[in-house]
Amino acid sequence: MLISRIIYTFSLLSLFCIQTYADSYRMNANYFVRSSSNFNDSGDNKIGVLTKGSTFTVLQKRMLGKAEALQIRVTSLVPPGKVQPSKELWIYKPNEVDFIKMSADAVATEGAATEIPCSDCETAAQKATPTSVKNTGDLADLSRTITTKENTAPADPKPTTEVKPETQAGSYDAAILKYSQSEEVQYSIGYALKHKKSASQGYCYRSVKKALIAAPKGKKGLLSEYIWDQAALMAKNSLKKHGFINLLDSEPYKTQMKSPRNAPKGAVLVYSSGIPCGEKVLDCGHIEIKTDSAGKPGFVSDYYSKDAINETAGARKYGTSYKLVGVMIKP
Amino acid sequence: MIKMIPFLLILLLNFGWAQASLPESTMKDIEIFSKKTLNEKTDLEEVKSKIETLLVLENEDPSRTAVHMLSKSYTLHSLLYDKAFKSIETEKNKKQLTEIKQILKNFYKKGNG
Repeated sequence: MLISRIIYTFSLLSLFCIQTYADSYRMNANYFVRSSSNFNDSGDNKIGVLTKGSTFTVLQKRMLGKAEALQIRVTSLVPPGKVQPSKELWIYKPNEVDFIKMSADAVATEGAATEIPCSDCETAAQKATPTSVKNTGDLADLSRTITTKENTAPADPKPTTEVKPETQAGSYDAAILKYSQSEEVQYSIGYALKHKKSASQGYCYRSVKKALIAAPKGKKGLLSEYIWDQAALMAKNSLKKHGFINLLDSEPYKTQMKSPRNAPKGAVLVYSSGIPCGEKVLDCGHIEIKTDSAGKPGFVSDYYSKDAINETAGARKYGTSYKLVGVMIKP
Repeated sequence: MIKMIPFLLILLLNFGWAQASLPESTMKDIEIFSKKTLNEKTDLEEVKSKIETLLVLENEDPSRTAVHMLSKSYTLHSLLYDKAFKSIETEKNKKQLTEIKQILKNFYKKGNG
């Protein structure tokens, strides 16, 4: 009897350990963090963003149809991500692609101390409608059906830098619209169109930088200061330091915006080219601003073209080395 | 004879088009040429031919990608290029050639930023 009890206890303990090791993740995309497990559209409970590369430990799981709501403790935060201190931190996990499970070695200590077994997952899953959840809007009804579990407050993660990006599939939509309609974007496009030449002068990046910094008197432009880098391809990283995000880093935009024509108005499009400029810069790239809404033509840098650089008549006829690598907006 | 005019016009237009048109491999050719080590004595004609290609592309490619491609080659062989520029310069193409030359000079040295 005693032996069987010991075996039972050990099996139970080992089960807990396995769960602990399996429940630490590294983010492969940017996702909202919320103060409660209510993933509805209003977003009142959004308290930050967990950026790509950040890691967290799962404290509790709840099934939301085929997806999961995870109560988490943030273990590392990659800038520009930020999470405000909160009693609870929740994240929506719709797939495995954006959440990379970390190895046991990496997280054993972290998780073992805080793990709470998911005893009610099955019940919750049965109660929730088995629907494939694609966006946060679908979750409003589902989340109401989930049984609640007693709160176990995790340690508050310390915020690092300013919040910039929004996350979750499709949730940049509002930010994109706001960006495209913003006064700063209109001004930048207007400035670039006013100063454009009939053909490239070899200063696409310089012209785009000037357009992004341009602003009416007394107001700020999309860039608050001039960026002193040499090649357009560098903008993919440089602009991120100034609050821009690359829509190609997350779905569904990565798929939607394979063609520059599908980029939103005001998006700063960055291309690789394979053309060198200087001994050290082997790929100078190209950059241009979309002057009209998605699906419509219009691209401006130091010249204007109705077609993107890799979709001009010349590019179609003679081939092109330009590849779209960045669709940057500033949420 | 009057009936023949549309056909003649089409023929003329086609001929004109054929004159200005470049082979599909143009960009690839420019790219290969851009990496070539040039001989100041023997490659003048080829450099001239490439600059003429750049002039034709002016009507088709406002991005001037081919010009950017040749910028490194220009930096390495500026004397040869300048010689070629002089030999094909006319009143009509002078403005375009000046712009092209300016880009060839600056793109590789300064970048596009």
